Amino acid sequence: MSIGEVKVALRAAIEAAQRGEEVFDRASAEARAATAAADAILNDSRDEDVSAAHQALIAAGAEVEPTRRRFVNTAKHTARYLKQLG
Amino acid sequence: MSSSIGELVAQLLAVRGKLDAAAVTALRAQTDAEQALTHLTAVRKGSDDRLLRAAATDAEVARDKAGRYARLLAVAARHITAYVNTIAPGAASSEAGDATVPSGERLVEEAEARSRKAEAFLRRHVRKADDSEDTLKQTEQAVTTGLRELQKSLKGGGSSGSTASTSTNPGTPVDRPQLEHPATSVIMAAGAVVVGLRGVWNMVKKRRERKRFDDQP
Repeated sequence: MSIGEVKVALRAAIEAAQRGEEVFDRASAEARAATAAADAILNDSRDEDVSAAHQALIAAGAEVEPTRRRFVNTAKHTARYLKQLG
Repeated sequence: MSSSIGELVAQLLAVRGKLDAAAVTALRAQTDAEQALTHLTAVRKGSDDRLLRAAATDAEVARDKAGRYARLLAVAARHITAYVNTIAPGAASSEAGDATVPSGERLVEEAEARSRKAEAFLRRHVRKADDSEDTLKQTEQAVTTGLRELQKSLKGGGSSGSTASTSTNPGTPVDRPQLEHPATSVIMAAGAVVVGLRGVWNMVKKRRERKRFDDQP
C-alpha cells in the first residue's frame, strides 16, 4: 500500500465513521421518541410484555452514549493518525 | 389508560413501527462502522501505530454496540406486538400478514442469517484455496471467482433492502485502489454486518487448523 493509498483509505474510514455517527443519531432520536410515546401510553400496565419492552428500551437507552462515543472516536483517532502522516 | 382499546392499539402499533424503523436505521449505522473497520484493517497491515489500533478498536466496538442497540429495539417492538395481541387478540399480526413491512427483528435476524451464509461461503473457498497453496492472494482469487454465486444466493433473500444501504458513499473516489477485500463489499451490500470479514477470516483459519468445522467456538 502506497502512502497515497493509505491516505485514501484513512479518509474513507473517517467518512464512514462520521456517516455512521449521523445515522446512529437518527436511530437514537427515533427510538427516543418511540420510547417517550410508549412510556406515556403504558405507564400503568403490569403486563409481562410491557415490562419486558420497558427493560429492553432502558437497556437500549444505556447503549446510546457509549455507542455514539465509539463512532466519534473512530473518526477522531483516524484523523489524528492521518495528520501525523502529514 | 386511553379511552378505548382501539385507540390504544393504534397508538401501540405506531410505537412499534417507530421502534422497528429505528432498529433498521441502527443496522445501517452498524454497516458504516464495519466499513470504517475494513479500511482501518487494510491500513493496519502496514502499520501498527497506537492511534490506528485505537481507531480500529473504536470501530469494532461501534459496530457491535450499534448491532446490540438494533436488537434491543427490535426486542422491545416484539414485546409491544405481543402486548397488543393480549389486549386485542389478532390485532397485530406479528409477521405472516405483514410481508410488506418487515419487522425490525426480522431484519436483524436476516442480517445475521446472511452473515452466516457469507461466512459459510468464505469458509468453503478458503479451504479450497488452501488445498493447493496457502497464500492469501490465491484465496482472494478463489473468493472472487465464487462471488457471483454468493451474490445470486443473497439476492434471493427476499429482504426489503433497507439494511443494504452502503451504496451512499459520497466523496469516495470512484477510482480508488483495491483497499477492500473483494468479498467485503458483497458481504456489506448484503447487510451482513454482524461478523467482520477479518473476524471470519481468522476464525476460519483457526478452525481449519483445529480440523473442526462443525461447532462454533
